[in-house]
Order: sequence, then structure tokens, then C-alpha cells
Amino acid sequence: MRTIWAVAEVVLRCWTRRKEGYILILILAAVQYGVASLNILTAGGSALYLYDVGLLLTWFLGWIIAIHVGASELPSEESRGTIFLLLAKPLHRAQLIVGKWLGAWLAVAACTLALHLVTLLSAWLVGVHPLGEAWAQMCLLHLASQGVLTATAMAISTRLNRDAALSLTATAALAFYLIVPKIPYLSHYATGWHTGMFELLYYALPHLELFDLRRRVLHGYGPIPFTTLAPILLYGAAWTAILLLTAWLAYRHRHFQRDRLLE
Amino acid sequence: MHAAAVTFDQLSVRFAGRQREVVALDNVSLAVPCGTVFGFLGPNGAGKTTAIHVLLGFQQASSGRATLFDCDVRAAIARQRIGYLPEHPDAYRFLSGREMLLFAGKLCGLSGAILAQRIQHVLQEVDLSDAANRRIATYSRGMRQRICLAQALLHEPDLLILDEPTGGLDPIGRLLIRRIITDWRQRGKTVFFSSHELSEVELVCDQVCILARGRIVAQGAPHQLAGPGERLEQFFMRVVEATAAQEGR
Repeated sequence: MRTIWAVAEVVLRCWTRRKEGYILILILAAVQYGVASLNILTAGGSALYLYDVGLLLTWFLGWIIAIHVGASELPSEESRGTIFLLLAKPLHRAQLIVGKWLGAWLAVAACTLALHLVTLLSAWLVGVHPLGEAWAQMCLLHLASQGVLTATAMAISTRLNRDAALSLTATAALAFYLIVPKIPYLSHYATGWHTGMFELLYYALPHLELFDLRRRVLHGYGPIPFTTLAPILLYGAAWTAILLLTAWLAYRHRHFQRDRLLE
Repeated sequence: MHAAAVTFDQLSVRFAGRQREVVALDNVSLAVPCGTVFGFLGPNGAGKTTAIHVLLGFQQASSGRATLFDCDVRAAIARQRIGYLPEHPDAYRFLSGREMLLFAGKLCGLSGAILAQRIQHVLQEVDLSDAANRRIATYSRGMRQRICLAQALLHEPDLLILDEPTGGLDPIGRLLIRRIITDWRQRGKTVFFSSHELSEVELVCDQVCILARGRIVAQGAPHQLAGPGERLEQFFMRVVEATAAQEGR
């Protein structure tokens, strides 16, 4: 555990010293300020629109940073050549994967919470007061979904370079969020064994829509019961574990050819 | 006590090229006795770094095997006893030199006062005490090379594997590396290093092995290999050119 934490600490330290997270927070604040200054949105008690736009941006910026950090960690070790320093130490590759994921997720979580706080502050300024418990649940589930996405990006980056891993994970994330929940509707149009294939896909792929409580917070429906929240968190933890296991399986016998790394 | 710190047993590495197979190492066998300084020499592309990468488990051998203290390198116990400096070392640019050493020490199982003491010691050894709290991004190439060397020395390994340790260093840096290697030998440790700097090699090595086109072409003590009045550099040129001529026929 000490070794895992040592790896995570370095990831966290490096990302807190980089500019990306701070730039995203500034972009979010600027966009919300811009939207708030448009009369069309703030007129006639439509302050909720501002909060809606803010939450949507927070949600997707949070995912973008999760994918970016998750897909960058292992490939950047390779392109810098520091992977050789790491693997020459008594460090198991499983520890490296888990440590990298933990550090990446903590960095992403810190940035996401800052994004949520900016959005909450903007909402307060225009007179929207979301319920505290529901807001906390929404943030918690957002962080859980980022755990899954960070692990997805990391698993993909064990075999692909950073850019390819970024694009593929972003595409997968959109599919998990937008297409996977619609599979039952699509399967109505399928016949024979194709229906079974659709059902298989529905259960075999992660459902990111389960982690989205934005509507609930926006319309003041109140918190979800613990008996609903806990299974969703367990679902996220299970998917994260499966993806990290996949990452380790892909990485454990990976060989590093010097010329390919330096290219 | 192990007789050999490093062994290569009929080690071969072949890469599938676009048009033909490239033989990086061809039946290389050698043993590096414990407590010696062993120079691994050869022109560019001879297969030195490939051999080191196989030894450290970064690269797979096509046939044969490499061991560290009679253990497979994938065993953590084997890696606990080695310190490695890669050919083109780079470091975490967002960390300071001290933070990087702290990280390396934790990976090697060091902690607390012992780790702090070791960090202070190696920083002095590589002459980076003044720059320890600066970010590595602000270091020169030579300083980065030295901080990477410091992480290899940190846990006092029994075997130091240095891949072109003097590349990118000024004469003072080279002298420092030579001093560290000599010091390491006096403490009964083993140093296995590849280099192009034959004058350096001649000064510090107990044994050398010359690799050309993936094959060992000469092996022994530097003063025994070179003929009377001949420098190691001249001997090196002679055997490498002879191998190239032989291959060309």
C-alpha cells in the first residue's frame, strides 16, 4: 500500500502543478459569467437555465479532465523514458497501475469539486439554492463516474499512445452515456439473434447515465435513498476494478522497445 | 554469496524488420563477477542497450536467458539489489530533485530518517545539494543525468547498471562518475556499465567485453586485451573494424 500511495502522490503532485485544471476552472467561470450576462437567459426567472448550463459544463469538463489525465499517465512515462526508472525498482506492475489510477482519480476529483463549487457559487449569485444533500450525492456520483472513466482511459492507454487513447476513451464515454441506455429501444428493431446481441451489449457495457443526478438537483427533487445510492457506488467500484484488472493484464508482460519509445 | 552478479546465457534478440529480420544480439554469453567494475563496450547499434533492457526485463529475449544474482529480473528481490541509470535519462519535471529522490526511496522500501539521510548523502555525492529544492524542469541536461544517477545510488544497491553514464556530461561530471564508480568498487559492489568513453573505461574497469553487431568479439581485462604499447581505444577500433570487414565479406 505504501508503494501504491507513493506512485499516487507523485501523480497528484505533478497534476496540481500543471495548468490544465486551473484553466478549466477559469473557462467554466468565464462561460458562466458570459451566460449570466445574456438577458435572454436570466430574464423572467430563468436563472435555472444558468444552473443547468453550468452543471452540464461541469459534468462534461469533469469527464474531459478524467479522460485526459487517465489517458496521459502511462504513455507520458514511456515518452519521457521514466518508465525505465520505475520498472527497474522493486515495483509490481499492478502496483504501478493502481497507484497511477489512484493519483489520477484524486487529481481529477479535486479539480471536479472545484468546478462544482464554481457552478454552485454562480447558482447562488443568480438566486438558485440547490438542496445540500442532493448536491453532495450528485458530486459523489460524478466522482464515481470519473473513477470508471479514468480506469477506462488507463486500460486503453496500456496498448495505445496518448492521442489514440484519448480519442477512443472519449468516444467510449459518449457511447456509454448516450447510446448504451437506448439499447433496449434499438433492440425492438432487431430480429433473431441480433436481439440477444443487443441485450448482451446492454448488460456488458458500463451505464454512465446511472451516475447523473443533475436533473434531480436542478428541479429540487431531493436526495435519493441510500438503498439506491449504495448499489450505484458499488456498480462504479466494480467497473473500476474490472477495468484496472484489464489494464494490468494488458500491461503485465508489456515489453518496451527503446526505438519505439524514442520515436 | 553469488559468484556472478549478471549472467547472459546464449542470449539472442531478433527484431522483425520491414524487409528482413534484424539480429540485435546473437548468442551472447557472459558472466560479471561480483565486486568488479565491468565495461560493456561497442559501437552504436552493437546491442549494448538491448542487452541491458533484456537484463532488466524491458525487452524479451528471442532465446537464452539473463539473470541478476541468479534470479529472474522480474523477481522484486532481484530489483531490490540493483540501481539503474538509463541511456537518455529524464525525470519528473514538475518535481524537485529532492521530491524525486523521496519517491525513488519509497519505491525501494526506505522511509523516515534513513531515507532523509540517504537523500542528503546522494545529493552531496552527485553535487546537487544546492539545487535539490528546485524543480527538475529548471535543471540542465547534465544535472538531470546526475539526479537520475542519484536515484540509482539511493538504496545502496549491490549492482549498479549504468547505460552510457557519461553521455551529456562535462569533464567535471565525467570525473564525478568515475569517482562514484571507483568508490562503489572499493565498497565491494558491482558496477556494470556501457560506454563509448574508452579512456574512462580503461581507467576504472577490471574487465571489459566488446560487442559488435550483436556478438561478443573480445572479453577480458583491458591491459590483457590491448597489445604491448597499444591503448584500449586502438584495440577497440581494430576488433570492431575486423568484425565489420568479416561481416562485409
